[in-house]
Amino acid sequence: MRAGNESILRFENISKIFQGQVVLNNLSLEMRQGEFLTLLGPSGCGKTTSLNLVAGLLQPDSGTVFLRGQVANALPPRKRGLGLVFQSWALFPHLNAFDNIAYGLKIRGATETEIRTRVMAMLDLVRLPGVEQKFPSQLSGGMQQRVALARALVTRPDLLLLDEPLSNLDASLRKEMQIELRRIHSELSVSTLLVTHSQEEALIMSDRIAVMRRGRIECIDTPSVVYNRPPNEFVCSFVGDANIFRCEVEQVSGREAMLKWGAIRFVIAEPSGLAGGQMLTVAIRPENVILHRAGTADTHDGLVKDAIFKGSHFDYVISVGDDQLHVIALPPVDGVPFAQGEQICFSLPKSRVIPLAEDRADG
Amino acid sequence: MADAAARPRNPDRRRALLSALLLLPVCALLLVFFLAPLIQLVNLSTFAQQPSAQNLKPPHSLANYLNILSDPFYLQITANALLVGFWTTIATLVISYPVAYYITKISGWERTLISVACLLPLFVNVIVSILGWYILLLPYGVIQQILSSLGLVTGSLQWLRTMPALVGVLTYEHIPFAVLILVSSLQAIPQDKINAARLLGAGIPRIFFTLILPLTMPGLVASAILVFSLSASSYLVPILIGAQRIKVLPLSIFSYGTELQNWPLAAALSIVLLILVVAITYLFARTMNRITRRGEWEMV
Amino acid sequence: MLGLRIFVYIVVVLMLLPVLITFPVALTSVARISFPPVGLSGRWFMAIFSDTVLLDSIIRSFWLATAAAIVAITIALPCAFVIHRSTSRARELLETWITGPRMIPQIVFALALLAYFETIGLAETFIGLVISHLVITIPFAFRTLLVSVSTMDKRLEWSSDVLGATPAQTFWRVMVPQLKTGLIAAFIFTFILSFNNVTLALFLSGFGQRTLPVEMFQRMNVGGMTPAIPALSFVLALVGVVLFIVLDRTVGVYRFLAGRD
Repeated sequence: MRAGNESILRFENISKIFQGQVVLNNLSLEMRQGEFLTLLGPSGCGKTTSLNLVAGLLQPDSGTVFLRGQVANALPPRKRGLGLVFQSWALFPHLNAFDNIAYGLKIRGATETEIRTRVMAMLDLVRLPGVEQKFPSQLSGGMQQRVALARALVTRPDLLLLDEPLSNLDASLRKEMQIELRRIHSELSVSTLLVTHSQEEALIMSDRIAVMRRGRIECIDTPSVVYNRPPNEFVCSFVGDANIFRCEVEQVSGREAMLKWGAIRFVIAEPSGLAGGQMLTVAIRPENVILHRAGTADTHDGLVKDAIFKGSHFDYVISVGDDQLHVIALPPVDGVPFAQGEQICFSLPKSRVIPLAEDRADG
Repeated sequence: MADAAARPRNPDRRRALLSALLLLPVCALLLVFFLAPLIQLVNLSTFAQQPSAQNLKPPHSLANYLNILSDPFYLQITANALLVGFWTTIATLVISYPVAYYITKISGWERTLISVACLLPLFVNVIVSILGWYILLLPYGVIQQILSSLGLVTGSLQWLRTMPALVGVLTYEHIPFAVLILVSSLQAIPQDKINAARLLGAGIPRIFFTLILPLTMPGLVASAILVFSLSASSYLVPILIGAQRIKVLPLSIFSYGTELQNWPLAAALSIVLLILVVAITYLFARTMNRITRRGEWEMV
Repeated sequence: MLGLRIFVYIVVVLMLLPVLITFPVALTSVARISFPPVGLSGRWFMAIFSDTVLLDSIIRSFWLATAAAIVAITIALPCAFVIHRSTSRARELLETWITGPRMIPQIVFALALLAYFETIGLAETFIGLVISHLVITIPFAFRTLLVSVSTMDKRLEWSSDVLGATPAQTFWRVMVPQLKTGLIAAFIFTFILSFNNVTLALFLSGFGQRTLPVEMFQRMNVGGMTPAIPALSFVLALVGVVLFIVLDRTVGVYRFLAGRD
């Protein structure tokens, strides 16, 4: 999080059309030097296309790509000074690990000794000593991943591009690599642009997340803000789980507003711009709904429809009138979990209710 | 930023130029040494006489074609050539299909062995193969000796110079082509479809007729077309095995083209052969296409 | 399945028979073709080396095939690239155009070239022969290379790009190694096609400039046949078989030759 102030990458009104489909729609974003920015979104949202535009493998149909403050549209990939790791790692099958990593250095005409030193240093950095002689087909997925990373980083690029690098790894390797990537990022202070559809990855690794949908950026902010204060329904449900429902604003007074959802009335904080009588979509994350055995003035009644034991926590489905709430909770203090069919009470803490903007119509 | 938007156009145009440049050698080669000669051949076929040093451009006429189409001799040899092609194709497919099927079911050294045997004529010279069969089929040759000792034949038989021998050797020559196409065709059948059919209780003949045969039909058609066009235009085997007893069209092309030096007539005969072969294979492909209602097949 | 097996093995025997028979026939000690051989002698295998006309034709065939194979691959490879990366409509057109020569019966083409070369002065020349072989081998080299080009991973090129390599460097360091097996296969197949070609050589080679197949044909057809020919046949067949086995175990013959259909 030692992001500098200089801009390493900037998209200004970038549009890209493939076979009649608008893949990127007037996209603008800015990435600061040293930061770890993730482009997060479902498939088809344009995140990989954006990455390819940064790399210079594609040209925008309109708009400008700035690298380090300079216009880079016409700059071929090899002159952009970047590092790139593909989802499939794309290691050269006919070269061993050492030669793969050394490739960029050989192209630049580095000396034998310099190559040796830097490649070995890189292997140390990615924690893969001893595999220099092995060929990609002899390496496991995780090892290929690290070699690909080493290859991209050995030329000391100031911007590293990662295209879903962890998708081909199994769950435990993925967790390991998430931490590794984060560590390498901070050790080298290399600006990193990650593309992924996994919100968990984005939350774990990023300084900032740009959530994309259909060629547009829905929001771009720190993981905490994106998770706790998503701007609209799409971001809210894409990043993490959420209970989303429509309420009617009954009255607004000062810094609170009273909302009506079915038979339930509850209060929400900071209702800027709300007026009585309008409809509002709100969300609350499952872990933020609080369940009680006994009711108080602030609680509402509900029926436990389903209780699923998940080891570290319980997943509950609570019936509220005709609707349902998905709730995640630790077992109550008295140690007895709520059971299916049990009448319980729940509360919606006003600071945890997230007001959401209307979903934009497709552009 | 009109600049930035205009620049992406250039790589596209440059790429198109580069592509054209890369295709140039082959296209030039084909234009000059494939298309042009063929066009000239058509032209040549319209000459009434052989061009010579004194008479570089003889008058044009369709005399050759009229000659060919009216002379029963030429009609006979054309029919012979087509017949030879037909029988060779049938024999080749009948043998190659089961063999190709077997090949797809095995692996390792057995597969290599059988492949070597079936693809042998491709790797080994045509003349070598023909020589081998010549020796085998000689009167009192190897095969006759074996059959003789088994008491199946007596005396010496003239097997060379017969139609069956001709078709047999041609079949031998063309089995590799059919096997190659059929193996790739059979291999393309997804195994899970067959498994599903088995699970549903279909017996082997049923699976074959309803699943395997239709799916490999394109391969069969492609093989048939290839083998037919190759064998109908074959002249080497008719010369060496048939000893020119069975007169086929390509033989005349060969004679007039080399020994008898009547190029216009040879050219006309070639054009006739070409048109017939192309027409027959095209119609065949079209008909099969309609019968099984599948998409485009390659004609080559 | 057993019936099928028997059938296949009968076919295998029949396929191998013509080649196998040349061996004992070549071992005869007399100067005529007969089976069983009269006496056993290796003289006819030796005789190959003293038959200068025969050796000449072998060498000529060799150089012809080498030249044709190298040129065919060199000009077919760019086509494979272009076609692989172009749109489907252009592709079909180009593919049909390039593989066109395969649709013409070779004897028709040979005759056409014979007359054509006469008018442009290439008759009975080595170059003319090479060109004729190019026309018929290029469709084949092209198909084989197309298979190879199709399996290339574009991401490898992109990685090389981003790592700083120029297009030329990417071509030599990344693309050619990927194509290596395809190039070798295309070379060998093209070589064999040219080496064994009879029709074009028969029509287009000059007297005294014969290629091996033509020489063998003339000896069978016209005269001059001795057991040296079966001896040579057997040796050639052996070489062919060894090449095939090597290819099949390394590259996989069906994968490449199947591009033939």
